[in-house]
Amino acid sequence: MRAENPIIEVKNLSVDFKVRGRNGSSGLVSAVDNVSFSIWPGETFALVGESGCGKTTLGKAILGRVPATSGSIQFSGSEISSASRSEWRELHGNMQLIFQNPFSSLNPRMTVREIIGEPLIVRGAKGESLDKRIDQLLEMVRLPKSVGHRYPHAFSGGQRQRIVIARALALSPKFIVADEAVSALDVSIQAQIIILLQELQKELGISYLFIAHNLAVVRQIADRVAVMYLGRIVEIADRETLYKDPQHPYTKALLSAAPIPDPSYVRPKRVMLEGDPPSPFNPPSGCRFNTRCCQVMDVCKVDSPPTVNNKDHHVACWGVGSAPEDEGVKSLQITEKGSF
Amino acid sequence: MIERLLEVKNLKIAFPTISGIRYATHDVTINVGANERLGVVGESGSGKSVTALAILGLVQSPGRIVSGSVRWCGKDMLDPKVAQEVRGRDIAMIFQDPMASLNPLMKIEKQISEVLIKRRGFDRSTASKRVIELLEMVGIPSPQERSKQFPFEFSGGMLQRVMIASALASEPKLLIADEPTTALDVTIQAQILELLSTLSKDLGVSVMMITHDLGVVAEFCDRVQVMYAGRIVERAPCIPLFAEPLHPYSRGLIESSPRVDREANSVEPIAGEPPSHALEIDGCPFSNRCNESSSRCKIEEPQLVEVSPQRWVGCWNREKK
Repeated sequence: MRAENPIIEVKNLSVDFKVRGRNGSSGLVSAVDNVSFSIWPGETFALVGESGCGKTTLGKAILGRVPATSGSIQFSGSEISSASRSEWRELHGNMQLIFQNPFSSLNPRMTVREIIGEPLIVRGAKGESLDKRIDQLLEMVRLPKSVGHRYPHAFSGGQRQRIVIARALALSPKFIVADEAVSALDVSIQAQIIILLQELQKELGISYLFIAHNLAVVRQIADRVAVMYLGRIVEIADRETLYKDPQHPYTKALLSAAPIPDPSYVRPKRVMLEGDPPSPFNPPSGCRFNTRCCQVMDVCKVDSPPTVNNKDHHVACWGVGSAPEDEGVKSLQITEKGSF
Repeated sequence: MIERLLEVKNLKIAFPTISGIRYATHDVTINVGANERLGVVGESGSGKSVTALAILGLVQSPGRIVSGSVRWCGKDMLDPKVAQEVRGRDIAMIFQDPMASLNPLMKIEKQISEVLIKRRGFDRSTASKRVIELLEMVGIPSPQERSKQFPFEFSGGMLQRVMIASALASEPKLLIADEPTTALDVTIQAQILELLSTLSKDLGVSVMMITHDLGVVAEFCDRVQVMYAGRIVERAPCIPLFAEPLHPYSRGLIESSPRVDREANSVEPIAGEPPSHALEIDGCPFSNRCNESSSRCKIEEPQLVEVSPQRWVGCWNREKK
């Protein structure tokens, strides 16, 4: 089915940050711990998790904005985790970023045309071809050409996000990291932007890494979903499998906690998580979810669970890996720890 | 008939702008009864927060209330003296960002006991005891030690619990919660909603829940008011509103909200953008985004009318024939 090679392949990636305590002591925070996944051309791969789980750091590491501590990141088959500055200059034409807050990611002193044109000018575009390309980009994000000479303050949140998207598309990237790209928008506008991103993907064949905390939004846009908890990926599955048949207790809790806008909906018993996520400065040993898990066993507190792959459904949980239920048993294979 | 606690009638709040006087709310009418949970839902800029501030007499100058009335158990809340009496005692409020609403330099115990001492006349030692009971009630583990800590030592969810404890310290009859779970993670949001739900039942407190999230409304509220561009466009009990929204905006809002239990491509956005506050609007403020709008909608603004028992809507196409 997947004849091509993945556009992004992340293998055993870890990102640590050095931190210094008030008393002068220093330590390491492992923001991303041994994660592996691939993103295929034309695919939307979503990364969900709560604040502080490392999803943004992971996105930044892929784009070279934070250095990877170990592991490999490949873009179209070539290793980029150790790329030099000049190599990154090339790569950033192919890999772009859309931020969450469209109010702080646009220079208030530049007009829309200047903002969208900047990446093109940096790469030497000028004159008529530049103007043409800017017109084309405005059209792509469904903004009228007449707005090109206005400044960001004149636009609403949704329109600003369209400008941000147009700028990201300027260099015709193959891969875009959308970090909470619709989270700051009102729902009626959110749906517009989701549909725009999907249409652009169809037209241009871009792959997205869609980072979000809202599971309902992710279900609208993602092809495959990875769930992160405290720096580790706990589950990866294609969208429908993940939403209909979640395996990891954390995924189940996340899905069950999401409010559903329908008062007549009868929720099957809610999986309520106790307490807060532990601090990433001092993560629990073994499975990082063990302090909040309702199915915790002794082994969970000691050893990290291996990742079990059952028909492209990857789960890292002792409770799932050790007790497979149905005919899936035959195709079960325990892969190396943390690798997908 | 349920006992009416809060009665807001035709409230109009004005702010001066460069382009002249603009109204943040237009004739907003809200009633909250005893033991009721009212949801006020709308998108950013729809006037829901400023309405809450007006109820508490907290609209900051140069904004002012130009017409309408706010009554609490029959008393005129627009009188600053009355508002000061009621505020923080009979009506308490919790905000979206607990970190910004607590004093970072004051220990938790002191912040909550302040309410008890000022509002309920407790002495210092009884107040400290009560603080610990309150923290326990909102589910803070080891409340004795936690009460001696500063806000920065708490997580967001725990701080929101502290805020709830502090709001409930004065034993209010109405709690206004302005986006209380928006800044929180979804698993923590579920905890806080559950907590608010049990507490409001156990203590008999009415809640006015201001939110942009229809999921929160559906899970928490009995009755809903939908706001758009400073107006209430629909008012209904929760279940029929979601089952059969009457106003095109309410319907659009429901259809554009993604759901975890719905498959992909099920959202339907509302075209266009909400009207800017800088412009004066003629006719129905939703008419430029509405697919049912007629020429009348562009000229004349519809009033909120009761089309069937308990169902109010402000739309020309839903008028009783």
